Amino acid sequence: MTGSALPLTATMLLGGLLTLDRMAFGQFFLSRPLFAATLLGYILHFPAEGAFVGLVYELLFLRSIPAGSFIPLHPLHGSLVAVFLIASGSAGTSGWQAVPVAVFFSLPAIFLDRYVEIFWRRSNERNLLKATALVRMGKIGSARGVHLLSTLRAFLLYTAAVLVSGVILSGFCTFALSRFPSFTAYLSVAGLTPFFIGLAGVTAGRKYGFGRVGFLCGLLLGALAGSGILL
Amino acid sequence: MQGLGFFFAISPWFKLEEGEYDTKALKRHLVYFNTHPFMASYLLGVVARLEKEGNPAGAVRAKENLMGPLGAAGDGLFWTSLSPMVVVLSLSVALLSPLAGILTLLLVHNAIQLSVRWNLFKRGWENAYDPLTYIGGRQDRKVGARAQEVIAPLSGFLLGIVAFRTETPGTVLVLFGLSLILFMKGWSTLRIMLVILTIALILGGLGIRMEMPWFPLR
Repeated sequence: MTGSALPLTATMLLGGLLTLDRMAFGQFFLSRPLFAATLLGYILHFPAEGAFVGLVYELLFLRSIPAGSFIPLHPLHGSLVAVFLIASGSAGTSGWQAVPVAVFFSLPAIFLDRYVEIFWRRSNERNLLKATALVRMGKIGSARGVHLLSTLRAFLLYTAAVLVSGVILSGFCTFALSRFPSFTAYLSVAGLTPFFIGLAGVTAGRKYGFGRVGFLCGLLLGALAGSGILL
Repeated sequence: MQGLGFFFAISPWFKLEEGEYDTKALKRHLVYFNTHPFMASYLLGVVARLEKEGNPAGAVRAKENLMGPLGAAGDGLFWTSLSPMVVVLSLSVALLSPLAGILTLLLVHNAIQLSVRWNLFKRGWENAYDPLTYIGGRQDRKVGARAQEVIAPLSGFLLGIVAFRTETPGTVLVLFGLSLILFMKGWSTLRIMLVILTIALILGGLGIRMEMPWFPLR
């Protein structure tokens, strides 16, 4: 655990800070997994693995949108925990081989993230009542302070959530791999399934007009680029 | 919801002098508020002008009546069209260079959202006395439809580049095709994931494996 203390600290601080981008500040896309996982990957010296984790999580949750007051599953914490599992060595192997295992074992983190968001939104409603009471008393500065305090509370809450997810999931991952060492090999295919499913979800429903032809043209270009002929 | 945020954003507008605020005006806007975060700028413009020109009832009415339609318009324009387009574009770039990918994500998304926010704030100020006409005349649906069309070739590119950077492009394409068919049949993501995971685990057990795609780092 000592070896993973620094990666865990970086993961939880980044988790807390970047969550504020989607909760309280400008929604600058700093909380998107592609940015967050790649950044954490750079910090923990696994940039390419971090970027691929971000890619898989982006695609899997691209259709999960916060329409109206619906609270969707958000991939930020899952992607950060996945990079942590790779960097801490909890995923059994290192480098690319660890990516599918890390993605697979980090998925439960997104459920804790949503639970915390529901909790935070309720506490925010209470803050609104508190601020209203302060405005009635003419304490405008304090009422504005409630907003800032609420932001600080969100940071602490989400930092704690990433800590809990990171500790539990890395422990579970290490335990599972020690009991079933061949799991890594099995997951070499299965770890990519979120990628297919996410991409299929993005593509499905775009069957009219330019969509099909555009998809096939893109596929051809991608195949040429991927096999090294084009790029 | 976003009531506290709207109050925080509008409160400097009601500052009378050092440390003094128009408490009555602030109370009017410390209420339930929920719309699309980027489209809220339009209401900030409308409310700021109406309050400044002594029409508080109009400001409250505009907020109450427009937050729903603006939320729906913003969800359609951003969450289902522009944002997925920017993300898929950035993912395609990230496969060539992770750093370029995240720069694309941040630069393109923020260029769009910041310009939309600033423009909507200005339009809100200009159209404060007839806010619905401007919103009704916006071409958000057309822009959204165009953005959605761009997603298809980008998704194809993404699949092609990942598939052909593995040792087994055929397996990748077959599993993708199966996922796509199930999606089109209306299956839920969870159900598809269970089916594909089962197939993938069986393939793994049979010794059919895929190397992870590689990234050239720059």
